[in-house]
Amino acid sequence: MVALNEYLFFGCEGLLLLGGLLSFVLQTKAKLSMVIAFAAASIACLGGLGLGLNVLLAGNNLNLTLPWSLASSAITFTVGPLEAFFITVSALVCFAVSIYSVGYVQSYIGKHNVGVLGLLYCLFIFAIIGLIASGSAVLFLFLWELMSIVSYLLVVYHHRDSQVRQAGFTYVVMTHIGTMFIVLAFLLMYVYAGSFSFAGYILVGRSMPAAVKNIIFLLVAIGFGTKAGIIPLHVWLPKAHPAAPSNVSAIMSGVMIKTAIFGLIKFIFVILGNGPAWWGILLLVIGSASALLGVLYSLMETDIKRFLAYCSVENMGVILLGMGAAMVLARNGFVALAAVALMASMFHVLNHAIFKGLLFLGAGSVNFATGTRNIEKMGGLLRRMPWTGLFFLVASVSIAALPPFNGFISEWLTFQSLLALGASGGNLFLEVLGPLAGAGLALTSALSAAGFVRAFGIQFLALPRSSGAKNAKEVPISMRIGMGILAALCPLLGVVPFIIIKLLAPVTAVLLGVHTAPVLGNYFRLSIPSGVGQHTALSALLVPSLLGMAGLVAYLVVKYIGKGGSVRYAETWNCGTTLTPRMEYTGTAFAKPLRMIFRQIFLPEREVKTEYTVEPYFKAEMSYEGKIKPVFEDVLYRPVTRLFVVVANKIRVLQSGSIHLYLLYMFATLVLLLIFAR
Amino acid sequence: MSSSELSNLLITLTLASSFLIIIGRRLDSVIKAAVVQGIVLAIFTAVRGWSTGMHEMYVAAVLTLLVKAGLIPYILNRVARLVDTGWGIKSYVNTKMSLVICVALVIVAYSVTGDMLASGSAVFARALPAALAMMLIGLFIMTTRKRAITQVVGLLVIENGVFMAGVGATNGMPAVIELGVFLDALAGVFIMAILAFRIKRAFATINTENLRSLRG
Repeated sequence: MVALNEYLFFGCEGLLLLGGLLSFVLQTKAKLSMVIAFAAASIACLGGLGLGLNVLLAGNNLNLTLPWSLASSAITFTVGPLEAFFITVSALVCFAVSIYSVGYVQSYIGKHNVGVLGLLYCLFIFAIIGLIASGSAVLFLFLWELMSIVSYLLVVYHHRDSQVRQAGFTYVVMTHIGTMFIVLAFLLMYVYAGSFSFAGYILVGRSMPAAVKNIIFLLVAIGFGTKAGIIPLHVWLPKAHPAAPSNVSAIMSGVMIKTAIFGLIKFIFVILGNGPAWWGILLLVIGSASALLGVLYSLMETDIKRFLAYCSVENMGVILLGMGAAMVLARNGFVALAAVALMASMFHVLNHAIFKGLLFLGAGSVNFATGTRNIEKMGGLLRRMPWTGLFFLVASVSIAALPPFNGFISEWLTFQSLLALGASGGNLFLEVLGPLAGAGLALTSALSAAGFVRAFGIQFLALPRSSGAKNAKEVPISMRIGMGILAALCPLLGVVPFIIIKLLAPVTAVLLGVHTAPVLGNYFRLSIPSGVGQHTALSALLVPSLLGMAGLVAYLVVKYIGKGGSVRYAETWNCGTTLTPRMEYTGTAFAKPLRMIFRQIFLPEREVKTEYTVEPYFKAEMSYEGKIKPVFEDVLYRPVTRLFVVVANKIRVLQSGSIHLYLLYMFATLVLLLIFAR
Repeated sequence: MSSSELSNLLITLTLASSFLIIIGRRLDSVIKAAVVQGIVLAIFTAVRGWSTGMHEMYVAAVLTLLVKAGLIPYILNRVARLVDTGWGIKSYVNTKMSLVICVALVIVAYSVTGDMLASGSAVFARALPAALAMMLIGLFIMTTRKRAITQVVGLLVIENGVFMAGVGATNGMPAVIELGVFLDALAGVFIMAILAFRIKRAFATINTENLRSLRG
């Protein structure tokens, strides 16, 4: 039913616009405006979800041309399987976040302008869904810019804080640098296609000269890579995500940066039709670097949202790993394996959207309850906020890729495709690169698990370290519902991943011409054809059963062989003094061994100051300050910005501020042109 | 005297009145010179209307008289009196040097328009270089004079130049464009008048040099 798709699309986008505008108009009635904005957004997202699923399951594409034009290019929307998948992911996360926001934004009423937040929030989702569906480059760019600018405005929502403004500036500069590269790629395509429609691009994409294809690939890799936050273009991400309100960070990290992945897949697989092997190898290398460095930097952060932001860098790396493997495999003729790798990549897109959205919502809840984002000031929250704690734990376990949760499945698939890449070869380089990338991914997963043990443990366990944490209360019901929806999906997709594989089947069919569903087994068993005719299989259903059985056995052993044990409640022994939160393990201390092991990367500095009353035994005061060297900022960005400032200062001489001088410029130019250029 | 000769005389007078503006030593004499230019331009327009037989031009002539020789000088005088910062002209370039530069500008204008004059009527051949010279002189006035009111007079001279080119080159511009030109000048003057008051309130002078302190 094509008409249904159109209704869903218009309903979704229209409702978002309407909700945003109403929220803005009614800004004097803060509560009403807030409810309208987020109710409209959640209903609209249901529409988007319906549209995505309908296209994926029923196989009816949406093709829509509006009777207007934008910069002399028709406004068309096309939703095929690829677009539908990304719309599904976006709408799903935005739906949960919208419900969450009803409770979260309540704390802003009276302090900030809620009407503006509602407007921007709705426009943000509007732009994301619109750009995924857009059928022409001009429309895509328009909505891409709308998304960038609206998200910038959301990042600087707490604009009274100078750090937030600075973060916003970094973000808006980086995002426009990225957009510039995308625009260049689009214009270069236009030279060959003669039109801005993606359909026109697809027609010529495969037959363009190889050199041009290479340039376009590099342009989109840099352009979309900036938005995706891959290393070394990631500098905006750990600044912008923490600065935004938490519900917005959830969408930025869960959904917005995925639009960059969408752009990459669309360009590489749909428009350019893949390319030489080095494209994929480049993505593999960048992906590995992003994953490893992302997780390493994340471990050094004590701001929970900065930690999560770096963790997004890591996960984008993982997604790129799958994509790069798919490109190389497809190039070398292993189309079925390429489908597995691409599916791993897109499965991870969905998973990351779900659990990273959930983690940001959880961090928002903790911030809501304690008023701080510094994990060193938290502690003991599990007892005070059991639901938030549970949801955060579920998300942590998922992102650490532990079975039986969804992160495990996608990372397992990524592993398998990387190993298959090594085994498929005949090419020594690939035989080394595949397992090496796999090893990097393994290290990343392990470090990420350590990071989340730290994040969860320091935040939720032991004693509260500040009065804010001590007086924390569980968050309102709507926030818990929003988080609960995403939390429920984590184990569900971990146990029955075939739901998603079935949804992804039409996508890989379109992109690579392979149906993943028959390749990848069924509801009970995922099996992957490896290069040499063998199959690797995993039963996602069996894993939790085995885990459950192991737990039962352990319980029985303890109960019967250990005679049930005896539980004795007593004070924790503390050498005779009273127990205070200051004796707890801190997040910084937890990461210390890693800081030592990887000191070549972190280049840590520390400064300890001690004041004595009687040297050397009686200390009056001690202060410790530790930091790591921001290598990328120092080596890559600082020289460039310094150069810009120097050049700008030189040019500034022209700008004297005198009206007469400006008039003189015009006067002199006019007369000289009249004389010399007539 | 044929209408063409009359036109030439009026064109020359209009251009000459620009020099009157240049040599003015007091604000009120500069404004009076602008009135003279407006009147001569209005007569020129009327003569063009008579010689081409296009009666709409009479309307344009009356409008020119009312706006450029009446309303705008009135506003300028009023502003000058209200902001009350003396009647002296302040300029970066002294009067003699200004005259030399303006003569040079006239030469530039006549020499660069030479190429374009192969086609067109005789009146056009006279009007275009004079009009261009007036535009350049107007821009020169805006560039060198320090006070906001004299800069508006410069704008007025530019507008007069544009208008003369239009009237001389065509057999009457479309009414919309004529009205546009008038409204443009009038709006500019109004904005200047308001700004002059605000600048006066902020800096206690309307010397636009002081706006320099606003830059970041």
